[in-house]
Amino acid sequence: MNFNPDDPKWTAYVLGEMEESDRAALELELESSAEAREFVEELRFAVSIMKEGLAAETVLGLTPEQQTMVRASAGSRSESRNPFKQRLSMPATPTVWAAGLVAASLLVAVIVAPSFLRSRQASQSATLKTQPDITVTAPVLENPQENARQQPHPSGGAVTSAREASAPLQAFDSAAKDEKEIR
Amino acid sequence: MNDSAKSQWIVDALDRHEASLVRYANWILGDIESAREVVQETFLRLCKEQQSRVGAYLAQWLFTVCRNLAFDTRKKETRMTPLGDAEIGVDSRLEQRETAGEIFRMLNGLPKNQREVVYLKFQCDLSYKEISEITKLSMGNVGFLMHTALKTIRKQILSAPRRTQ
Repeated sequence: MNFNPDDPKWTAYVLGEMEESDRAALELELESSAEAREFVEELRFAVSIMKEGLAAETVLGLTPEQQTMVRASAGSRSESRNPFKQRLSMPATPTVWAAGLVAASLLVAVIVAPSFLRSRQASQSATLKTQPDITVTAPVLENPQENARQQPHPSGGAVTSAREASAPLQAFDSAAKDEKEIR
Repeated sequence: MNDSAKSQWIVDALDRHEASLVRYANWILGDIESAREVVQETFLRLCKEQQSRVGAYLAQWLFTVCRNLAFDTRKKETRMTPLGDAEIGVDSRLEQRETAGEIFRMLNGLPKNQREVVYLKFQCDLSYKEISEITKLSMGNVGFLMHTALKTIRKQILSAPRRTQ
């Protein structure tokens, strides 16, 4: 068998990086080739020189402060570094649910209450504004014919807003209903 | 995994790999302070990892993160102070040491990719598989680079036996 010194298997063999089956085959080859044996010995020598030379390199490490920081970091709870994850893993007990519900209700109340009050105020002011119309329609209950004469718009003016438009219509509907009942 | 077990795992990793990682980072950066910072950051990142994810590949994980951080640092430093040759190299102070001087000169004479696999093998005591995962080279390529490097070193040793023996 021809000896090929360019085959990486020789270094793999010297460094113990070879599979068991390949190693057995290579050892057979070594037995039959003096050239291969010499080459392997030279590689072993080169490896030992390399290891020896690199071992002479000064042993370096982290500073004591850096080591302390890493050790402290290792000791701290890793999970607590992600508060979002922590919240997700929190057990959802009935108490937690109830507290959440109360908190949500309060939040909704705080957000919705001012706008609700504003709209209520506005509707009250609208009611006050349309009060004369109601007083106009009120007698209609007693006199439907008079009421019919005052239609289609009890205020007699142009309709300028939805609120203004809906109030007379409601009044018209109730008046017509009452008229039927009377008849 | 409870906290004390994880803490012990990190402390064990620090004890086992700290020196090799600092040497490796120093070898890439040529500056011990930057190398230490890179290694410290590597371990701080390990603290954020789950042992179940890294455990079986601890050495590969540490050397890969350390290598990436070191190359990032070197890239930033090279941008700030352009160097003529920003290749991986051994500490020049080490070269002056008589015992190791020849070896480091031989190592520095090797192409960069060969130097790295030789260093990871002999200095950090990593396997072909681990080196392959760290350097992103195939195992066959790692074997080839190692063999080529060793053949060169062997040739140099044989040509100057008195200086090295």
